Formats: sequence, C-alpha cells, structure tokens
Amino acid sequence: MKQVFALIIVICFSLPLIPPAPAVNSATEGFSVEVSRENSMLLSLVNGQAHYTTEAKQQSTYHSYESMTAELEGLAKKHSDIVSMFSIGTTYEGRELWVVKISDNPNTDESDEPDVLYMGAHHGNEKTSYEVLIYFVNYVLEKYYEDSKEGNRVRYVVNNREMYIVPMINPDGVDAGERKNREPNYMPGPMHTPYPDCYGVDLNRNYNYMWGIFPYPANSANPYSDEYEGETPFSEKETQAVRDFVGSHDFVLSLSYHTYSELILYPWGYTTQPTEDDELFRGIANGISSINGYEVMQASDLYLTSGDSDDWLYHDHHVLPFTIELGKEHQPSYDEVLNISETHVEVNLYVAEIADNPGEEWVLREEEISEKAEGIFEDTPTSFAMMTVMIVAIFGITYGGLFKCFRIVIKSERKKYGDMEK
Amino acid sequence: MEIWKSRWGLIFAAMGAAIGLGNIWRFPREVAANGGGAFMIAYLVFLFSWSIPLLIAEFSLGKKTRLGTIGTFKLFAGKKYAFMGAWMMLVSTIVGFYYAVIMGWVIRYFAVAVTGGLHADVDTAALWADFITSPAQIVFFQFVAVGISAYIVYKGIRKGIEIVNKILIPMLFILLFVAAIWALSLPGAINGLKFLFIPRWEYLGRAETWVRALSQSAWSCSAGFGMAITYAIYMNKKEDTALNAFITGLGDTAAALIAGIAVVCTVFALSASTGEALGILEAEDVGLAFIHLTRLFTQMPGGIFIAIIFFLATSFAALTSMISGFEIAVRNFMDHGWSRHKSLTFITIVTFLLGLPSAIIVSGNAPVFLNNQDHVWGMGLIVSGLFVAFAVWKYGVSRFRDELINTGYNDIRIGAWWDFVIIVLFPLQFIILILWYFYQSISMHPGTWFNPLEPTGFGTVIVQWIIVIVALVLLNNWIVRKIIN
Repeated sequence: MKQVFALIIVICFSLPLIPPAPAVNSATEGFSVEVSRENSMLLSLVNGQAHYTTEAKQQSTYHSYESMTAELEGLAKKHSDIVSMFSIGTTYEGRELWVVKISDNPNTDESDEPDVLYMGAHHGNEKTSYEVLIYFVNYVLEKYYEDSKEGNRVRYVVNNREMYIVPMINPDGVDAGERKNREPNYMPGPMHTPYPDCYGVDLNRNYNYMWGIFPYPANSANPYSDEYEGETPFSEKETQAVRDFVGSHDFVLSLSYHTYSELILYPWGYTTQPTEDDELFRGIANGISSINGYEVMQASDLYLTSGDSDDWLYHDHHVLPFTIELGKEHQPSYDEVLNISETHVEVNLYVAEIADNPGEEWVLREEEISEKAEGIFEDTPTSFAMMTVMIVAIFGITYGGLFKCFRIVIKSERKKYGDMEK
Repeated sequence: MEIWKSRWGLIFAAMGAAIGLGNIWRFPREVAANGGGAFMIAYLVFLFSWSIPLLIAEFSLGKKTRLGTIGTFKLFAGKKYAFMGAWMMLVSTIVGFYYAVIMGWVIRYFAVAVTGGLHADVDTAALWADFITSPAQIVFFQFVAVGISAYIVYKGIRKGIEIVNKILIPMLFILLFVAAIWALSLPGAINGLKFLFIPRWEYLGRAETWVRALSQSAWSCSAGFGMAITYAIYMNKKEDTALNAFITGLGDTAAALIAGIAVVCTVFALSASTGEALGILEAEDVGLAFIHLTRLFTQMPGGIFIAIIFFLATSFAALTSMISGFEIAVRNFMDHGWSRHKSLTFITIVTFLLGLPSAIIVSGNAPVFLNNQDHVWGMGLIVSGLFVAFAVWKYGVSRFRDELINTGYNDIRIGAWWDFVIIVLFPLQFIILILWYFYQSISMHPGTWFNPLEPTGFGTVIVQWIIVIVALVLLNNWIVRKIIN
C-alpha cells in the first residue's frame, strides 16, 4: 500500500516537469483571420512568451531621443499600413515632439473609432515611462501580423481604435537627465529678466486647469524648485503642443506614464474631493490594477498638485485620464524595464479595448465572444441535436439516478415499517 | 440522544446542507466559463469520484462513533489525530462566519424586492454600492441571518432542523422550477440552453476545467465539511448510509442544474446582446447575482416576482446550509459536555462577532476580507476531505467498507470501486487540486503572492492554514481530554 502511495505522489509531482510540446508557429507574412484553437491555454501561454523577441528585446540600454527617433521612424516606414508618425511641435532645444499613431488607415481620422492617448516622459528623468511605450509600439507591430491569440487581440484593437502615442513629451529633459525642460526661467513682468542659473518648468504642473492655486512658498511657485509650474499656464512649448494636439482629437481615455511607486492615479489632483465620475474611475483603475497589481488611489491622496495633465484632460476635454507611476525606482535595470514593459502592454491593450464603452466593462467584444463560444449560437441541426443529447444525458443521470434512489428508499421504508409492525 | 423522526427528514436535511449559494450562483457561472457541457461531464466524474464516496465515508463514520468530528477522529484515526477533526470543525465554522454575511445580503435583497424597492428606474450597481458600504445595514442583516439559523438549531434536531428542511427543500425546488420555466418561456432563452449544454470539447483538454469541476463538486456537495458525520449521529441504527450519500450528491446536482437553467437562460434572454450576456456571466458571483441579474429582473414586466422568488429560494438555500454549519460546531461542544443551549449560545456569539470583519471591511465596493476568507477556507474543505480519507486508511479501507458501510442495513451494496477511489483517486485528486490552487494564487499575483496581506494570494493561505494547524496540533491533547466518550 505504501509503495502505491509513494508511486502516485512521485507521478503527481513529476507531471509539471514534463516539458510542453513545442508549439508550431506559422510565421506567415500577411495573417489569415482563421484562428488555431487547438493550442491549449497553457501551450499558447508558453508559446507567447518564448516566441516574443522584438527589437525592443534586443535593446539592452535605455533609448536616447536620437535612438528612439531612429527606431520609430524605421518602424513607421516599415509598417506604413498601420502606423503614421508626425511631430506636434518642437522644444526649446529644437527637438521634435513625436506622435506615433497606430490604427488601420493611419492617415485618415476615422471618427467611428475611439481615440486613446498614451503619454510618456513628462519628466525627463523618468525614463521607464517612454521605454514602456516604445516597447508597446514594437509589440503591436509584431503581433499584428501574427496568427495567434495575441495577434487576434492586437488586430482587433488596431482595426477598431486609434491609438496615439507620445513617448517623449520632454525630450530636452530626457537628454539632460532632468525632470524639468531646459528653457531658462524668467521673472514675471515686462522686463522678462532671467533668474540667474535657473532652468526648466515641471511640464506636469503647467496645464491650465486650477493652475497656480498653491501660491509661494509652495514648491510649484518656486522657479528653482523641481516642481516649478512656470510663469503662466501653457507657458511651455511642450504643453502648448499637447494642448493643441488634444484639442484637435476626441480622446476617450488617456494614460500618462511616470515613475515611480507602483500606483494608478486618477483625478482630481488639486483637491481631495471626488470627481463626479469617481465610480467609473475606480472601476477602470481596478481593471488596470488587476493586470499590473498596482495600488489605486485618487491623485490628491498621494499629494496635492495643481496644473497637472490629468486634471486638465478631464476638466477641459472630458477625457478619462490615468497616471501610472511605474516600478520601484526612477532608473531600474533594463531587465526590469522589460518586465514592466511586458506587463504594461496588457494595460495599454486593455485601456484601448474598453475605450468603446468605458463604463460598461462587462460587455464582451466580438472577438472575445467567438473565442468563448464559437458556433454555439448558430441554428444548425447539429447544434440543436447536440444540445438535446446533452440535456437528456445529464438530466437522465441526475434526475434518473435521484428518482431511482427515491424508489429504493420508499420500498425499503415500507419493508422496515412492516418489520416494526411485527 | 435525539433521532431523526423519519428517514426523509435526514435526507432533506443532508440535501439542504449541500444545496447552498454554490449551486445557485456559482454553478451557472462555472459551467458558462468552462465549456458548457464539457464542464458538466467533468463535474459528474468528480461527483462520483470525490463527493459521493466522501459522503459515504462521513455518514458511516458518524453513524458508528455517534460523536462529532473531533470525537470521530479521536476514535478512528487515533488520539494523536484528533486535531484533524478540530480542523474540520474549524473550517466549517469559519466558513459560517462569512456565509452568514452573504446570507444577510440575500435576505436584504429579498426584503428590498418584497417592499417594491426594485423597479426599472433603480441603478442596481449604485444600490449594491450603497449597501455594501453601509456597515450598519450589513451588520443588521448579518445579525438577522445568524439569529434565524441559531433559533432553528436551538430547537434541536427533530423540532428544528428536520422540520425546517422538510418544508424548505421541497419549496426550494418548486421555486427554482418556477424560475427556470419562466426563464425558458422568454424569447432568446434557447441561446442560454445552448451555451449551458453544448459541450465545447476543447475545454476537456484543459487542466483548469477539471480542477474547477472538482472544487465546485466538493464545495457544492458539502463533502468534507463534517456535515454528514454530524447528521449521521442522529441516525436510527437501522439507517442506511450509502444510498443517502448518493441522494445528497445527486439532489445537489439536480438543484444546480435547475438553477443553472434559470440563471443562464434569464441572462441570455434579457441581455441586450450576446456580448453582454457573456460578459455578465464572467462577472464574479456577487456582481452576477446582486447587480446584473437584479438589473435584468427589473427591466422585465413581471420580473419583480421572479426577483422575489429568486432571492427567496437563495435565502432558503443559504439558511439550510448555515444551520448545518452551526450543528457541526454545536455537536462538538456537546461532546465536550456542554448542553445544546450553552454550546449554541457560545457558537452564535462567536459567529456573529468573528463575522463582523467580513461584513465591515470593504475596499471600494469589494468585500475584501470576506473574499480573503473565502479564498483561504473554501479550499480548507479539500484538506478536510483528505483527512477523512486518512481516517479510513488508518482503519483499513476494505475493512471499513465491510464493517461500516455494507452493514446489512444499507439499501445498496458498495463495491470494491469505493476502495479504489479512496486509496488511489483521493490522494491523486487532492494533490492536483492543491497544486493547481497554489499555482493560481501565485501566478495571479506576480510580485506580491508571498505577502500575507494580498487577499487572494498564496501567502495568506499558507500563513492562516499553518497558524490554525500548529495551534490545533499543540492543543491536540487538551482537545482529546475534553471529549467525553
């Protein structure tokens, strides 16, 4: 007996050690819409991870503004059917503010497709925030042509949404490794004299909604502080570019990436009062949190800010904006960056997916339906016959068995009752 | 000692204990999420390879020892292993802590439905959010739930548990049938039937389908709770143990099937689109019952009556399960020499007080503490199941079957298949299920799974289990001395 147990336990524990069968990859150019459903869930998971090696994976250090520009330009040229790349302005030091648009028909603005905005590097020293987006672009462009579960998901999003990605809002700051941008700060008034040795505005305090409500000595009003809000709202070329760009699109949702502390923040930032859409914000933030595991809070619960992009996006443009504070440090190892990026591919896709009805997340999208119940609802004789057979079989076993048991009980009760009478 | 007045009393009580919330809103969701008919096949396999064999063993143990779970393990597994019986009792009692809270929710929704609080203009999501975040209301209804259950158990076996189950279980079936027939009469219900029953065979190739079927079967049939041990104590000595186990398991499945048809067909018929129906079925239990089903009911003329029926049936199902949980604990205290009154007063107060964290601790609109307890102790049941098998192994499996099951009073003879199930399939199923569960708890929370404060992670399960097991092992001798033979 003991040996039998030992054997069973050994078998059980060795089951997970058996390597999964090598997955067959049909790396075909030009995908076919047909989906192979034979792969078990486990297998496709393994498959998805092992197979994924893009240019982003081969990258081993942080991008600079130049290498990012080169990489994105290359991608846009190669995949011009679903990507367009354009500049929405230039910075003080003359760098372009690139936007990558990913969608089918990328050069036309399709009004029936919801727009989603992704922003990185408001702060130049928070480099993970743009790495995540570069990785995402690479991922989408690779998976779009792939015949796999991930491929289906990406294709659905690309074909039915317009994703606008602004990886570096503050390229000057990135180049200098500074939080703020690089323009000298001037004293207010007509003289316009520069403060001595004083550079840069915190772009994420420079938007105009509730700008400047915390007066000096608050950090944001101090030109030498790292959180300086600027001389006036939208005083900076970068925020002006974002303002004009957002004004000419109809964004539903936005993600603004920052580092660090593993948080998902939603408006308001300037007050601890909840917004009217508090429930909706928390619902979506919890959805994001179920993917990356970050903590959800209203931005003002972290600290009060004025003039940040989220408050402005929400108040002036009715966008549902979220700020994600990535990771556990400003400059993690590049391996860690890749980890974070991989997780946030899912976050980015999720946000795009729910952009068609952000309040009603429980409604499944078409490709999910076919995934879950392919062909079930078709009115074919076989489906009807199959249903009938299963109903008869399952009810037969359950109710047939139950009634048979009842009959035996009744018979034996009668017998026992008879015994007792004797 | 009290004895069941009739065999039907015992049968209905056991069925009542088995049929609970798991049948009415978890089963439909599990079937829908795991391949329809394919899941049902897996479910039936485990009904016969885990739940029913376990119930047979439990009934036979209780009938032989005439003692609660602790006394049973003391006699059968040996004095050293009495802690296993204490574990069984603790798991069912701890489950009772939060079960009473959920039962309170159901009673509250029934009350709201009856008083006309559900109509087409109600935002059911807001209704739920208001309710779950107001501790006073939650605690009030938790108190009502605990109070009703305690009163029934206080009345004793014959006058309390037996009478209540004899009335409520047939009524529960009638209510479920009414709800199911109403659902089937709606246009579009056929899609629900198709989704529920047409097997998507590829799901049978997935480990997850099988593991979910096993945990659903064990949880739903109350196999491993100690319910069968406890109810068997009050058996007539000429009473059968095997057939009753089959009736309990099959009756539980019968109720689940009807509830499945009622819920899934309603969802498909009343949803605006297939996408909405499938999305609703993916929502977690609470969202499904209290937000989405309620919303669908209110949108249909006459739906309010079905809402009343649905919540009444659910209350009945919860109540009959709740009282079995009370009786398991009460019986153990009575073995220890206390009166029924004293034991029950103690258990009731403890259940109410220790249920408070589950009732009150809410994050957003999610009852996080309750979810954590469900995550940790729902699976404790599987450990209890293995303990029962262990007691049988210690006694000798064939000997157990010859001496305790096939006693001559049984209506059906249990063959050697039962030996095979207990010896081979039990440890196998146990290991696979536990490993899968741990794997899930880890992979769902990368980075935080080891943290005991992650409500549904791996760390919290292990820490809570180990604390309880270590405490029980240390207290083992003390527990043993307290049990009067």
